[in-house]
Amino acid sequence: MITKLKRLSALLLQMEDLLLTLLLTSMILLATSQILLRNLWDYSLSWGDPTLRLMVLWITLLGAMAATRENNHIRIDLLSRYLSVRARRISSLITDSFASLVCGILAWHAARLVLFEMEDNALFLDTWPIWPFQLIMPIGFGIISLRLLLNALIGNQGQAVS
Amino acid sequence: MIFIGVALLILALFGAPLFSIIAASAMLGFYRSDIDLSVVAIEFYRIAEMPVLLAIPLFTFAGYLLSESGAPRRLVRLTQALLGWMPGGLAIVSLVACALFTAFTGASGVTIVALGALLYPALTHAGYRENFSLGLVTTSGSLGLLFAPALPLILYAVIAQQLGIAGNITVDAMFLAGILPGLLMLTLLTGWSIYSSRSLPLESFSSEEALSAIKQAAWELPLPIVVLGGIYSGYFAISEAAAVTAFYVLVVEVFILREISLRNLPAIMRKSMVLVGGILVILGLSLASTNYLIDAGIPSLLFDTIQELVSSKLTFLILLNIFLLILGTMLDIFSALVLMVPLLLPIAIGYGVDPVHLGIIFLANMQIGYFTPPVGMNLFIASYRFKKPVLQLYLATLPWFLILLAALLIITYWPWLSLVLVNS
Amino acid sequence: KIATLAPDGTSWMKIMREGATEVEQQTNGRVKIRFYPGGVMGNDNSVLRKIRVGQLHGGAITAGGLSSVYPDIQIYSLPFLFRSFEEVDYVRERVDPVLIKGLQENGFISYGISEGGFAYLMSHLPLDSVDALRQQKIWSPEGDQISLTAFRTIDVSPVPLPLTDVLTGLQTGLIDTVGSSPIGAIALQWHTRIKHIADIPLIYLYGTLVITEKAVSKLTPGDRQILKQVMEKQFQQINQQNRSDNLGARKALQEQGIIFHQPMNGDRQSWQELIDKVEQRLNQENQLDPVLFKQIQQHLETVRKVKG
Ligand code: NA
Ligand code: NA
Repeated sequence: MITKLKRLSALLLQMEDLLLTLLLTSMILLATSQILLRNLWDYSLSWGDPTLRLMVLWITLLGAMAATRENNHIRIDLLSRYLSVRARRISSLITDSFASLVCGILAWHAARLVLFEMEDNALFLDTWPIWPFQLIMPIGFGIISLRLLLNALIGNQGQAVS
Repeated sequence: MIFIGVALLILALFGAPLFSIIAASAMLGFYRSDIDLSVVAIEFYRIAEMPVLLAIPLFTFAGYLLSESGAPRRLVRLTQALLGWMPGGLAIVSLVACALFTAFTGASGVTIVALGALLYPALTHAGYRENFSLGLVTTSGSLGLLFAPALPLILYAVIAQQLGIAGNITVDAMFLAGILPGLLMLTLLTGWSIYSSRSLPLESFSSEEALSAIKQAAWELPLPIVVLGGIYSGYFAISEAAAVTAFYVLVVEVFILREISLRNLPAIMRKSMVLVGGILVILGLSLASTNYLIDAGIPSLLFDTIQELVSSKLTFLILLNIFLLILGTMLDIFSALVLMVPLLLPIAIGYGVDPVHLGIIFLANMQIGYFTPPVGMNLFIASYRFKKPVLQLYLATLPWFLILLAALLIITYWPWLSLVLVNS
Repeated sequence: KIATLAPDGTSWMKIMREGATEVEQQTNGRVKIRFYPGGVMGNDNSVLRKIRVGQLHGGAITAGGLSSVYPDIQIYSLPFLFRSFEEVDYVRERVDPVLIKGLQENGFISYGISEGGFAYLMSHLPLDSVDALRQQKIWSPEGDQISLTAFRTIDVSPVPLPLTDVLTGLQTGLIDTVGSSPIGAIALQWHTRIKHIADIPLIYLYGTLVITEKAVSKLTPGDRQILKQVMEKQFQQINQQNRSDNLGARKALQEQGIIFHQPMNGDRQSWQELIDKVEQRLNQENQLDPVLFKQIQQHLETVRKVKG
């Protein structure tokens, strides 16, 4: 049972990494082909730029999720280096729980935003409902919150999983 | 309120992620103003509404790829061959390259991430002190804001024009006005670089070595030409220049030079996007905290207080510098422009400050604000990128900070420098 | 709390602030209006989201921005619908109340529609014929499906860019043709990059100030009446001011040496063909209320007949 769960979680992590790589690759290809299309065939994709901007949002959250996994966020962190191992353990328990709580609230309100957009029937490119494209916000912040909570509880000092 | 502020500060000092501190302060602010907290999510979503942000992941990836390849080695060899006979050669090339790059990317931290990754190892490899190199790349992250076609120059002109009180402001005027103050900053920093590297050994110039270094770097050399030429000739917007850079570097390093294998590519992509995520998540949430400041009218409240102290033009300019330096450490440049120019410009004109000059003072302050301790954004980006404690960055950037402060004083109190090209 | 894209210090904001002061005085301070100018609250979509969650109570929003609330509001912005300000005035006098009622049915009180002027095609290349137009790199506002369809119909592939990138686009040559009102072109500095204007009204630009019904219904009926009276008066003033500003800006552009191309006799035919083609296509794709559209066309026929 536990090995199955572990395998499942490893699979999920791989999916996450795969998604991040695919997004970046398609971003480069889409942005480059837009330039080629315009300069060689005088043609512009009306959906190109809005799609690229949504991809930036997805990259932001997937990147931040990966940064949380590696305990690799930007911090001011001037004082914890002067703490003993035990005190540092307590300090990171507090700061990570705090950040987890903040992300939990962020996820909740991002979910409400998605719900509003769903109710208002807001459209992407005047065609598709936009809310599925926005789901990355609540999901991303939700996962970050869970990861921070896990860090707080097991005292993960950060390691690259790659 | 003060208690909560102190609590947040303590949490930040003990290592809570910066984005969580910013998010918490925005949410607490909105909560106290009885505003629905989903505003924070609405503001965060504006990440998907700013076209220029696309340049960040693309340039970052290109920078990581270049830095993982043999390109830094080749660049060091080339600059050494071409400029190694000069004292401070590589440092000077770094300054100029960063200034050019920032002019196009608008000091959003891209320079540090993309070029710094390249230049920092090159500088240390060439024998420059660690702190000198760190200081250089961190400072250079905002150097170049005064050179065309920097977006803030354009934005300032547009905002000022729409106020209808500053007749002579055009984008062209701002482009001209920025040249000499920008060059002044570059010159002073170059002087410092030459002075600091006086003990590094000089080499004699060898045309054979130069030629062979050029040949070796033949694939990377067209990059700045293609990108700058592309933007000026109108083939690319900034985000497109970033796309071309990313695509070109990908093809050259992976498929032509084969210095990076396809198998290693996903790991590099992932690593670079971890950094992008870390930066953009902070940016997105700082949009929310800025929005709280606007909603609560805090910037104008702050300014009213300062205005009461002002008696003369000289005092006004001194206070302006202090105020803008503080503002520059807290706000991103676009929010600062949109928020403060409409408030500042009428008052500055009242004190007899030329609107074009005010624009240059404003941007020069913002530029320094980016790495003003303790909270200048670029300090954290550099700390993160080069895995050095922030405290070390405070020390490393201090001489650079003081030199640019001197430049700022000259720019502020000697309007001729900003205005001579405009009025001629 | 009302957000606008107009920066502080513009005549637009001055008139709005005057109105706010007047409302505050007349209601003895019971109604206070705070403005957030300069787009600090984000674009139209962002402002609408913030209105929905209650951070803002209203905003000055373009017709395109409001189309997600009430699609018919953009009916005046069909390309080539109006040919002169005379036609605009005649139709708006009769149709504005319908649109304002439509907004109210969707939860927004509007205090009047304010004109942004006619957008004309402006370019730094000659615009003297339809063929010349097809050669050019034309900007279309990002997300604006109407103008995109219009351009595609006449075999032009436009370059979609957000407003903020247009000036840089003109400077770098990414685009060479924009559609803009004369005041817009001057305010955004686009006029420094253009030499030719096709003197055919392309699109009628307009926006409106809306406040949510929820916010207004909290006021006493008396205060509501004062708010309505004052704001409607100010908005009419803005509408007139914009008309005269646009005519002034047009003159300024002419004095600056920009060439206004009237369609020549031979050309008029091809321009008209092009206009008809766009109209037909948009009618087919239209999601706007066909009854309302027919009404407008009838008004237009009447006014055109009178004019001869
Ligand atoms: Na800043
Ligand atoms: Na802002």
